[in-house]
Amino acid sequence: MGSTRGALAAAGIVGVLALSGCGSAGEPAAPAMATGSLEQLASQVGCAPEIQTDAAEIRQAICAGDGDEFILATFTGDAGQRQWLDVAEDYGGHYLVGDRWVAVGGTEVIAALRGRLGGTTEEGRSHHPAGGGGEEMAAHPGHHG
Amino acid sequence: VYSSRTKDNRKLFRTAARLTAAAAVCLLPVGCGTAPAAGVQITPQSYGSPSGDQKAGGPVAADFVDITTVRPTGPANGNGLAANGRSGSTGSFTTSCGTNRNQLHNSDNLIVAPGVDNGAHHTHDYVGNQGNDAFASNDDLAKAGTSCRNRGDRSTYYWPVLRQQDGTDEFDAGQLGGGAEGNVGTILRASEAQIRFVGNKKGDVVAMPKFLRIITGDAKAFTNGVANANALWSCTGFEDRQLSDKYPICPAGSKVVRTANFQSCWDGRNIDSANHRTHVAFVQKDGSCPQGFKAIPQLQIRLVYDVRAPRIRNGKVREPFAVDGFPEQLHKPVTDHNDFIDVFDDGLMRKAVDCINSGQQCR
Repeated sequence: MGSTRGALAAAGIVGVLALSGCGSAGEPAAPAMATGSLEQLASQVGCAPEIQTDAAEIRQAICAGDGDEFILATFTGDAGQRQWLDVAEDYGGHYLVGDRWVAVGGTEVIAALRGRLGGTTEEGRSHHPAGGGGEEMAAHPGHHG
Repeated sequence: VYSSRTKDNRKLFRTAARLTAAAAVCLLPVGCGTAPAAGVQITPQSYGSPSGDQKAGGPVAADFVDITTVRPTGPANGNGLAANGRSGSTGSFTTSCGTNRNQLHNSDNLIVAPGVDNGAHHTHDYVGNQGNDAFASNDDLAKAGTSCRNRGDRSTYYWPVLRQQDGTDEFDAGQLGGGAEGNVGTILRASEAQIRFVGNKKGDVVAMPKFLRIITGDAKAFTNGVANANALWSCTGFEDRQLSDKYPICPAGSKVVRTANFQSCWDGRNIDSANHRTHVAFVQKDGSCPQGFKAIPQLQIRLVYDVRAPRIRNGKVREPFAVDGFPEQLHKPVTDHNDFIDVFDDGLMRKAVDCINSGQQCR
């Protein structure tokens, strides 16, 4: 991994989070939903965020460990957050959605993050082969199309 | 247990996917981490759909029109007009980045769905930057290789592949993003991929900010409506006739052309926006930018394909060509789209802007 990435222990984010009380057995109880700036949220999960986009409506960073990387984004408005999610979820993916923040990554990373930041998990759309039956839209609220 | 795939591993997996499509049979996304084939995500129910049993879901005969029978038109919704003309900044900067001869493909979309690995429901062609995937950072892009002859251009240019639905299984025949989602047939390599930046007919342009993201067109325009659509289809020799919602049938000796004239008005502040659209805008009919936006170089991408014209008999189309897309979009021509992240060196961007504003044709 690039040495410029967030300085995380080799154990990776999931490992760090697992040690902090959200066990791997069963669904851990999520704490109250975190709020704050991108940097504040990142510090709560031990991530040194690599800022990618610092725009008026959205700030977006990569939190990277040894294969446990995830995207963390904060928004200045609820509408913008929902729009961002709607187009992203068309491409699939696993999301943790909070109050004007979103994390995107693998299912295990998202589950671990939920144990620290609270929030609601959402799954992107998954498609079946065309003509091969209906289309699955799991936990995908507010889709406009 | 969690995936311990690294960025380098992912690239290895993708290379393996290209080279050994049919041979890859490891069905576990984790647990066989040392074998390159592990990253090839194949779902049992979709694997190995035989040739001749490919389900594309579209297009249909009515999606095609004989280019010789249509009148010259422009984009119906006013998007995608050329910003340049005989006045204002008349120069250009052409960058030569090849035609993706090395077959760099993935189904990620770094702009729209960062962090969604193997996510998009269609396969992209990449030219320019060679390091674009779902987790690429700006730093990764700035350090990656480029297919552009001018090494100062590490921009990423990517668009959904065009395929001929001829029953051929490609590397992604059983995968999400590929054949498992109706994107079937031979991936066509463009015979030309012209990428140039032009000026604005009302005046000078200013430099694009580094890492500016622009998505143009709407992959879901068939169901969303055409507000954000930006698809232009034509044939060589007929490019005064542009189709925005039909594929062309070109006469013998004439090739299919896909053109994308990008948004070339910038809000002066932001490299992205929450919906990835409002930080940039299309020029208006007279070339001017909307209030609050300034003119930047317009990216114009022109892709030429030497593709067999589909045969239409009794209202049925045989072996059509079509863009990759979301299954429910039925491969409609209006869903064509194109994506770009500016990764020009500062010096090269200055040179491009100088060329454009001084009326020079540079490359």
